[in-house]
Amino acid sequence: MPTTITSHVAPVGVTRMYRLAAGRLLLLGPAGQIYTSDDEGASWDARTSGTSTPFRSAARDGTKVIIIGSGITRISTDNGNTWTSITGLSTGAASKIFFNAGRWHVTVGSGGSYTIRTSLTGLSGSWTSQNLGSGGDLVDIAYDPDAGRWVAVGEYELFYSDSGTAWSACTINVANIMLAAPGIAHNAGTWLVPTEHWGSTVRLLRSADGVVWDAAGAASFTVSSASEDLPTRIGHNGVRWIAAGRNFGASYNDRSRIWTSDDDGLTWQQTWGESSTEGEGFLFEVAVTPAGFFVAGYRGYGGGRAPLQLESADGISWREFESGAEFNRLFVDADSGDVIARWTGAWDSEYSGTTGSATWHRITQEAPPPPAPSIILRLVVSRVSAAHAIALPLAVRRVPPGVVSLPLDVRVLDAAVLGGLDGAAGWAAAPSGRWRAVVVLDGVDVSDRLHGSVSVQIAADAAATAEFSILPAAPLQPLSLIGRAVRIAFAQVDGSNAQTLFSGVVDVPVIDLFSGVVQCRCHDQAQEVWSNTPRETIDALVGGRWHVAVSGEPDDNHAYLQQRIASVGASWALDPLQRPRVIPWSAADRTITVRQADIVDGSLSVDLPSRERLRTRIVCRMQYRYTRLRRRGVVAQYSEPLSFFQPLLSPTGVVLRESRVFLTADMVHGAASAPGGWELQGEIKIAHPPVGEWNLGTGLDPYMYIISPRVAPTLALGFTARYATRWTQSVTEDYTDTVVWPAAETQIGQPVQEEIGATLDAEFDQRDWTFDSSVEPRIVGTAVGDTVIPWQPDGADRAACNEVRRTLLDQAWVRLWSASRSGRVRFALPCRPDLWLDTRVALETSRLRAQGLIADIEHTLDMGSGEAITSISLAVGLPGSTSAAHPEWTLSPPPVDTYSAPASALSFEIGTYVGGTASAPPYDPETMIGFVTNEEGPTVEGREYYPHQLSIRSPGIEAEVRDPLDLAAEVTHEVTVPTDLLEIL
Amino acid sequence: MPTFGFFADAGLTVPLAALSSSVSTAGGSADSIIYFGSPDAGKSVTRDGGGELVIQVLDDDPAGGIPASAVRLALSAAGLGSAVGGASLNIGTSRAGGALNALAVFVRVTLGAGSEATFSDLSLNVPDVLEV
Repeated sequence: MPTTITSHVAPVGVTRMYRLAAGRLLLLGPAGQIYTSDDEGASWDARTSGTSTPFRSAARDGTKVIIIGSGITRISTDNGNTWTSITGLSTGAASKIFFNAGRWHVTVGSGGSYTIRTSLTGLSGSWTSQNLGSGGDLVDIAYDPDAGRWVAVGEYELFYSDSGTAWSACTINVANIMLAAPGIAHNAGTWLVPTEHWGSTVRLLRSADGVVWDAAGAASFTVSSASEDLPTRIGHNGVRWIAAGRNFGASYNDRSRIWTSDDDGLTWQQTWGESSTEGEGFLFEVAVTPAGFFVAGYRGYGGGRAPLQLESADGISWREFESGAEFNRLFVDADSGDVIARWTGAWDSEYSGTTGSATWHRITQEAPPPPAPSIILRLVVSRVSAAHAIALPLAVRRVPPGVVSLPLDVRVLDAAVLGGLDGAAGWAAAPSGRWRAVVVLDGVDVSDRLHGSVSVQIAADAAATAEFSILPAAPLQPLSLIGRAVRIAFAQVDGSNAQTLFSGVVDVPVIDLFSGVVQCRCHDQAQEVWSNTPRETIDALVGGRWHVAVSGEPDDNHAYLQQRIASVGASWALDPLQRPRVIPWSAADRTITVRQADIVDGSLSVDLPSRERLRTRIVCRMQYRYTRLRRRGVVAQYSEPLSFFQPLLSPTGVVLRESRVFLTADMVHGAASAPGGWELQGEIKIAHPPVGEWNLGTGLDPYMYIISPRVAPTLALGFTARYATRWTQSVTEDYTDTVVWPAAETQIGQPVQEEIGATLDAEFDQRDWTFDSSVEPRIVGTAVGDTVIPWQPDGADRAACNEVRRTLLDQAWVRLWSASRSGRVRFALPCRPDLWLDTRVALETSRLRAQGLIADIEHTLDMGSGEAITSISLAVGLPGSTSAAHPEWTLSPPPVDTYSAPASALSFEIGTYVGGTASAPPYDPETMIGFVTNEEGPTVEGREYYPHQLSIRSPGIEAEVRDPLDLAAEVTHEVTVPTDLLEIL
Repeated sequence: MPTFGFFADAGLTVPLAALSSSVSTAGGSADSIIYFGSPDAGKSVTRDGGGELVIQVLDDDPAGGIPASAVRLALSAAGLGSAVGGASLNIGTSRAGGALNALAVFVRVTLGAGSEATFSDLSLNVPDVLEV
């Protein structure tokens, strides 16, 4: 805690000093002088006091100041500039004035009675007086703002007031007490008053309310006939109490002492003390500062007395302060926190000193350094009434191990029911012509309660649906049917050879209120099943390609299935047992032949592929957008030979051209250090002229041109500097891959096209890259020219671009095929429950030959008419009956940007322009970019003289590398697509 | 309520009450794929007493019906070719729930030539299942 002391000399002896408002100091002199200082005592302004009687106490309320002495008063309402006496306020030799909480109080000393005078304004005529009885002088007043209570200290008694006007005697539970003067202190509800030793062993009085007082700290102090502790001054710094005084020994062997208390004055510990060999000593001033404590007193006696000052940050560890100065009174300056110290002219009495030394001192204690950072973990320990336990109930349930069982229902079907067709003309599924519909609802066979007809609709790329009606045996709530499992089968009339047509759930039950018949509309949960199917399973089932840039993020896995299967020539469905199936268009699990005899009469029809749906070419537009990170390195170069600057003389020594004003190194640095938009790479290299002497004249008539060693480094023949700048350029690679089916175009006679597209964005989100060379990806090097890094991160890189293109091409080919399969051949058969979407049918009739995969089936079992019909639609494409494999795509390479920067884009413009010549044109700052100079010599009227300067012009960034760039690539892919047999005879 | 069982689809949406297979009187095989699992991703099963969970082919009517050896189980389509008829299939010491953990089980029923009939004496069983 380094402490400094600065000494000041006042115009007169300083008997008292106070801090007024607005940073003003008030000095009271020994002969009634009043001075104020507004520069911390560097200079003083004498104020008119009108008296030679010394003032001894002062107090203030804002800019209102009252000073008093023995029988004299003055009041200033302008912060000490002017003073007038106060009428109606009499004072004695030991009077002191206080201001607290809107009350002015004056303790009247030298009157032998406890008298307090009170005023709200301090002005003349406002003072009242209360005599509290005889016994001695009042010497000090303290105020507790929390309790709103004043306490006054007399020689033998204490008084308190809660109004500031009416005072009452306190209760002191100690007999024969004599109180120290002046000494009362208060902190956070604790009041302390030190006592004198006469007649009592009590050294401190303590009160919790300022009204009732008891002895405190008795056991902490030595009290014997040979050695007696006498704490005299007390203070508190918000952490602990401090008391300073002495140990009174025999034969004037007093020893200075300091004690501290950390329990509100109940017990005290000595933290500093002198040995008995030091001679007489006494500490009688305590200053509590923001930095700690400062204590003043003396040691020795007679002519050997010496100042003693101590300081401490904590009241525990003390060190002597070597001020070399003598002072006995301290006050803490509220503005600065400094201790203002002075010498009153006598060691031990505030009131006996009337002359005062003109030298006063400012003691500045530095605040103790903040404690080193600590990691504090508070330990919170709670004492609880009883230990408690943390309980976690364990719920244990004894369960028998289960068995997961799946019955195997194995049906041996008559091979004949799967045969037939191919012109056999019989009804394989029901050879007798008699059949029955089997409907199992929620595990219960309700076939006997069927009403009307049962129908099942099955289509590729759609959910299968079914309808049936039942007449319940008992009334039921139709809503209870929703979601119930349904299985529909076709069986022979005796129930044999049952074949499942449909499995699913009831979706919508509809009740006929008149008949009680409940119609159940059912579906096979296709959307739900596919939505729950993991993508990995779908990928394995479907194959093909999928990319989010093409399809967007699907809502669910059913949508994902539909997006993915768009790249494959296949359809999706659930089979009659609700198992997910992917049905390739080109490879059927089963092929049957149907002839005229097998078909229900009049059921055959054909819809040729419509021109509206046919496509012969699909244009795949794919835009791949990314950012090019660009760096350009450029150079600024300038050079002139020495002869350019030297004068030109003829062989006979005649000056043909004057010398030219030199280019300077400072001009180079000024112009080339930081051109706008460009970052200097390395240092500017300046070519200085050589040091030397050149005789440009003749031997007889020399003309010396001299460049001295001192001047040469300041001149420049030329310079070289390299710069770089960085920017980004957005690039769009625009691919047009046209998938053409030439055979179809030939057949149709013209192209019919459709466009599909996708965009892949490689977003570059490093906004600071342009400005901050530390941001990745870095481009290193100082080369002149362009460096380009395409920003193509994983997921949006070249491979992803190619995958998107291939996905589009796959979809395009499938679209061509799908569009060609828009033809439909429809016919009906006696119910064939074994036919499903995975069956390819070859139709051979006298009017039509066709072959195709079943696209949809409807089974209608009409119990009323006894008819059981299966209506079939075959998907047939363009005629041709040719196969074609899925193409292997050869992608065109990425389009190339062929632009290259011209040389002018890689260098600065720096020319040379000489004025002062007969031919020099007028100076033009717009066009004369470079080194501008003049020929030296006398100014010639009419010639153009230029400013001597250097400017350089940076190259611009061309639009080709700055503006968004579109790179197009077009490729045509000729393909073949499978065709089907379709002949109309 | 137990949630593990056999399902018709990999998404474990359609629980199977029975696995229906049809074979011609001329004899032949019928292949099916079924899925073992639970739609509840928070569930799992182990075998009571430890050890491997197994799918057994049980025959309730050894004297009649069709023999257990008519059924082959495998964890892949290719595995059916080498599977032993009637043999149990080990499916690990524990199985987790959720569609992503559905176990595909390949089932092949092979019958020789015979008369038209419906057999219900066989079943697939996973014994000693503890589901938590």
